[in-house]
Amino acid sequence: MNVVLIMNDTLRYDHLGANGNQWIHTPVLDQFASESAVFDRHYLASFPTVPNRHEMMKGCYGSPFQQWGPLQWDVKTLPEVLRDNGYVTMFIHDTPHLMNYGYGFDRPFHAWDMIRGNESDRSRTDYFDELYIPNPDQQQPPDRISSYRRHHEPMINEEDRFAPRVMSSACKWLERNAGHENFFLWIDSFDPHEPWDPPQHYVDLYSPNWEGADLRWPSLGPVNDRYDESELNHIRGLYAGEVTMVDKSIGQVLDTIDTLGLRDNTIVLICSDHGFGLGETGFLGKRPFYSDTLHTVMMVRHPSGLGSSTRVPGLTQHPDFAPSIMDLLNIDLPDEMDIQGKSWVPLLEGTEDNIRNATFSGTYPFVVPENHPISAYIGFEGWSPITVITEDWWLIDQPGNGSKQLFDARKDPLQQHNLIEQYPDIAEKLRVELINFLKETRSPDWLIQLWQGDPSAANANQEMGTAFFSNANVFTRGRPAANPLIGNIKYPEGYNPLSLAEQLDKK
Amino acid sequence: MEKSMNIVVIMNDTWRYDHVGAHGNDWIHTPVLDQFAEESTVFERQYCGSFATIPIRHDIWKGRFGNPIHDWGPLDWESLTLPEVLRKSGYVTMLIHDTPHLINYGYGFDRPFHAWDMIRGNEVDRMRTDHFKEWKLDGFDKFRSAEMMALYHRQTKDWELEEDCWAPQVMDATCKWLERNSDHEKFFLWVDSFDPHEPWDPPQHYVDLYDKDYDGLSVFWPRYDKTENFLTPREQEHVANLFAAECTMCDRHIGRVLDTIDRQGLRDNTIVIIMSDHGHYLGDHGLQSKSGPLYEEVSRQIMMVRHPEGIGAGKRVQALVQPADIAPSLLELSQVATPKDMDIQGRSWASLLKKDNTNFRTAAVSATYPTYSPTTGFIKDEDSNTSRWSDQGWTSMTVTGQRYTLMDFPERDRWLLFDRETDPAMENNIVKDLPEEAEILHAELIKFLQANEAPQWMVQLWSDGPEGITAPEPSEFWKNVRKRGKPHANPLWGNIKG
Repeated sequence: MNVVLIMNDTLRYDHLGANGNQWIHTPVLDQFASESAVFDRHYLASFPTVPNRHEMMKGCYGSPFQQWGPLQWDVKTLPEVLRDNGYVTMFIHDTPHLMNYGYGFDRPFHAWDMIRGNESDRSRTDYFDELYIPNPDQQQPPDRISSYRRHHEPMINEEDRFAPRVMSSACKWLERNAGHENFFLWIDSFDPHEPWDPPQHYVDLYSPNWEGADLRWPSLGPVNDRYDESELNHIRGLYAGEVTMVDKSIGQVLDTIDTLGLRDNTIVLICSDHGFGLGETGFLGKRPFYSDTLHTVMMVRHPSGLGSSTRVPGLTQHPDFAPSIMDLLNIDLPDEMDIQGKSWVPLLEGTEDNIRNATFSGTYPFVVPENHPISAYIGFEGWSPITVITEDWWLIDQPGNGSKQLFDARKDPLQQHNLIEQYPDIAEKLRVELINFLKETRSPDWLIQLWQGDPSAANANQEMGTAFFSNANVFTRGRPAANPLIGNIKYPEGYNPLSLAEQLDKK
Repeated sequence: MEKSMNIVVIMNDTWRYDHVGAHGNDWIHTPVLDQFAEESTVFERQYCGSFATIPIRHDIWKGRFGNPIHDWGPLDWESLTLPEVLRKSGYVTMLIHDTPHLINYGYGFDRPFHAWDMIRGNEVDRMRTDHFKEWKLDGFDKFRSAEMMALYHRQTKDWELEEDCWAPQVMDATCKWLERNSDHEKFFLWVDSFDPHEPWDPPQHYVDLYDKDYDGLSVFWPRYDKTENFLTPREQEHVANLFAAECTMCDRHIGRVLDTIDRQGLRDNTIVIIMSDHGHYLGDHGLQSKSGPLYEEVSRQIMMVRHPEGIGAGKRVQALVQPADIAPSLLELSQVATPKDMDIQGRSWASLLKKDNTNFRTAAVSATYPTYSPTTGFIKDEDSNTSRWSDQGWTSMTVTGQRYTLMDFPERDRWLLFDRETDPAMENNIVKDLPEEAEILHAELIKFLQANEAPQWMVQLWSDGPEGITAPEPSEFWKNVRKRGKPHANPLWGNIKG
């Protein structure tokens, strides 16, 4: 039995026709959904991209969440387990963070193919004479603008784009490897992560006749007056266009699986790691608070028809992926692995309605000082919040004097009516669940004390920035934009930008 | 000097010092390097410190001897490296390579550069897992391993032309990079060409230069063993010719890069270094291998430095230099302050471009990370799917002095001493005739170990002998690197017949 996983970064749950979106074009994924078990309450745990891959490979949350950093050498991961069990394992991706700087996510696979150049990938350093940016407040920091100029501008046709190239490589691999007895293919497509620059024919589906500013890689944070409604709509159109392009590209892979006769012995999973806030809450960017970001795609097509054409309402998270795959393949969970996720196979079989009562989402704890530049990008100040989601409730909790938000998970799926004043007792109850979660994931004592109301130990422990990363050297030498190469960017008279890296370095 | 100077380093894996015409080889075809030598300072006595490929990169980028001999492993997050220092000093820094070990498994050698480009598929690079039913390879038991040959088959079976080979691809990417980046104020480009490392499979038109009418078995990726154990004399000769042919191919494509440097107007403001990291025995000392004691065929490196202002052009330098010297030298030549945190152990040879100094270094130590082999024979390496010829006992450290070379084993009765003046091929062990010379070099080794922070067990092992000494248990980190990140060929997944 083969396994093909297609991970799509930044693909929102609500941007699939099959998930209720009435205007988006995702025919491939809609068809796939009709043959699959579609998870309706799959929420990310560790946020964002790299922490998410850690928990998918390891089957555990972290303490309480994974940090951004390289794959550690001393952990046994799912691909290694499958390898030990005779699987041919392959990693095809364009997600820049997984191999740059020695992050080593290729390590447990037999082989890897990386499509170069997406977003902050570091494959080109081309000199350019001058690049004029007329709308700097709507653009990413200068090092990213330069990176875009070097890596994305040269793309001309649809086939040059990243998702098409990643899926094309996957198709070739499938053709060459169909003869193996058991294989595990992990396709990590960074699209539809920003920048959103699909070919015009996709943009035309959603935002035709745009003559306004270049918004393919917009700057993030509170919308305020930076973008007017038409610009926001255009940004949403660009994103949707990229989603449709990704949908089409995935179609190539599914088609190849059929053509090679692999459908009947291949489990296919299609998922995402997080979504993105497109201004609905007045914020452009991703934060682990609301559905726009936390609600992710998860669909499983099993050749036996297990779960086919069903909706799975139970709460699931990314640490469940590894134990579920091992369950499907009848592989025992190795003692060496610290599996905290749960298999969702019983949900497909119908033997259980729930594998958990609550999900937990967030980042490894760190504190953002008031008015720090990073707060604009990640949307909070103070200690990093944790979002608790149960069948009925949605709580965004924060230690100390942080602002709490409570929503009715069933009646308010977009988290628009904060009920914290009306139901403080619910929030208290969920706080207890949260603290249990911290204990179960072996979080440090100071963190538990912090959430129990005593910040004294926490204040001594954490500083901005480095805690989010797995060590100080990762912060200085190995984060995206650790090596900014700013080119000759010209801004309007009087405008003086600081790159994000420079802002972070200034702390 | 006021102008900003670019730096281009072209590192070539496994290119033996003696396989360059300008180094006195009268039969090999290396017109590009020969011409380059005339425009450069040629270091005739550069010897590796740590060995082999990856440990040598550690030495070069850190300006160190690897504490003192670096084991094979990833670039650590803590060290400050040459590319990072240059980058922080305003250089655009780029890594272009096909050396599989630099990126695979998260080894992270791309980390300090602004960007990197990897040509895939060379040797043990983990590019393809293609299923195949059967592949015919005559005499495959003479090859490195069935698994590696299967990998080779997968990764080269669609090759047709010279341009498909690795060195051509690497140099092609390099030319493109130079064209796109020549207008930067200053750049540091590191080209790590894995060729002419095995497999030695250059196009036939190169092989024809050396062994045109050969119709015997072509063992283009031989195992690491004594020649007599698996190759006929003619087969061994052919292997050597294949290697020479690959050197000529590399020479040609380096020429394209040098040509591009000229055409982009970069010659007058770019320092160019052409070097290698180590060599390979091609029947020398009875071996077809690069393991065993490090003789000159393996330890001696190509090192040519072309300064844009012509400083040292045409000079031959006899001073003993090592990879750890490169970082301080380049920093001095570019007038970039050396950060204290680099903790450099090498010495700058910048002044040697103007005037040689044989007192620069008294003796050069070259060694692989010490290991003990319990038996003699063709033994499987546990970390990888490969085997190699091994003599029982500890590995040695080679001490190259001004005239004599000592293979210094912890077991004194295994010492080998050679007089390079009268016996450059090092075939005649004179340790019994000149024990005092051996002791002098041995004392240099102990001094070296102590000066460069060797662990106590290592110093003791060489000072007092092996009695009662075992290498300490590797740390958890190193155990995991061996388990999860030593280059190992993937399973066979197919049948090799022959």
